[in-house]
Amino acid sequence: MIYLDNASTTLPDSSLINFSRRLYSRVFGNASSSHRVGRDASKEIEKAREIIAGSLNAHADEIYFTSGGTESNNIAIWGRFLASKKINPNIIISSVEHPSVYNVAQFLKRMGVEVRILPVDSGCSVIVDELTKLISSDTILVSVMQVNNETGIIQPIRKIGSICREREVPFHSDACQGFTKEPFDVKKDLVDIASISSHKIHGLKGTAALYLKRGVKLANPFQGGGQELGLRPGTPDPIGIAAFAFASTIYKPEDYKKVQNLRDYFMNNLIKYPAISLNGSASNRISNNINIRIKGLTAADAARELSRRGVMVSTGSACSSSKSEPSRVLISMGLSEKAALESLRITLSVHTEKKEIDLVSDHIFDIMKKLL
Amino acid sequence: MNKKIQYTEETDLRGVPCPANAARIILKLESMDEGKILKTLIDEGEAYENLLSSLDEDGYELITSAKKVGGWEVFIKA
Repeated sequence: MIYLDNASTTLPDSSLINFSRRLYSRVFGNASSSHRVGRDASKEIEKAREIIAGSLNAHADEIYFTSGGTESNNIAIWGRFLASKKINPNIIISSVEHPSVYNVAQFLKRMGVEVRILPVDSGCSVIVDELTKLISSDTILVSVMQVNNETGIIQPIRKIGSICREREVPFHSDACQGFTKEPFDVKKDLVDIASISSHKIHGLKGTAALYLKRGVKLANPFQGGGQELGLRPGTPDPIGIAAFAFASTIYKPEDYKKVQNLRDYFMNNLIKYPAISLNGSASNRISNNINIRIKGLTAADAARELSRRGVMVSTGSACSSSKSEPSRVLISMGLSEKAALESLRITLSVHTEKKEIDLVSDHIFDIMKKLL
Repeated sequence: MNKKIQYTEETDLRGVPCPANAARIILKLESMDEGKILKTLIDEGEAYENLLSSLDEDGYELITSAKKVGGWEVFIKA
């Protein structure tokens, strides 16, 4: 099996599995319990908080553990909405945000919040100049992802952060795709709130974090026992959290240079065929992502045939019922519905090997020969 | 023709997204005695195409399928 769907999720690193296995035998307490077993669990969580904070150049008390990137994004947006005292609030999000941002914004729209959409260009980069036109004194949050989950395009978050600071509007960035793969420093990047997730970086599912800059106000969207200072109440998983911190130390952006070289080799191999074109800009793209259109071949057919051959890739569309829905991200870049439905996302990992890439290239060309 | 097929289990997975629809069918087939027949209803389009591919990959025999209003009726041997 060749797994090339690493933007969806990653294989937990073997060193992390060993690390977690050792913890399972001795850490099981409820971190709220004051006895020794509880303290042991709490120690693991606090140690992890320090490590995660260090990886973002943040303070430990600015890190809140959650159950996933989706939960982090929800807390960021709901938290700002609930904390806002504006009579006519608006939020600004890009047109290519993950559903856990985009759909929350659409939900808030039904509650009277004005949602302003920041467009992207044909390369999938947010048009920063538009932000200065959209931002106002009633803006309660700007949310733009660090790296797009479908095209892998790295967004100009520092420029966005700079505009937000100038206008004193909190800036949230969903950094789940880019965390540990691309440099990310909440101070330098001028980010006030950020979401990061463990399973995207060879950690375990069910653990993520929210960075919240000191002084930025979020109201608690959940009510409960007060864990994570009330932002995310509920018994935390000390092993998942410790594993998240461990995962954040395994690979650094430097380790992805090798991935980028392999990706470039693969991408150049593919796009030399006239029927294949790259979606999104070739530069400014995260090291492991290729998003291609194979003209005349639906992504569903291509992905299904690749799966039969043991190659796992992703389509941007959602098979919800009888009709495939084209990717909102690709459509907002200006692709036609047909082109979007012909688009495949291939995402490598640090474990991907050249021989696998060569084999997958051969499979794709063979499938094209048979199905086109 | 389908009326003559003797099936022992039946599922309706219309409206269930991919790949959970195919996964549920495979789980059902795994729980059934070998040779028994499952009748299932599934959405048309990609859901149906993906199911055919999953059955093929997992080695299950599709006995017959017929397009119905709102989806496909599929008979599979466990």
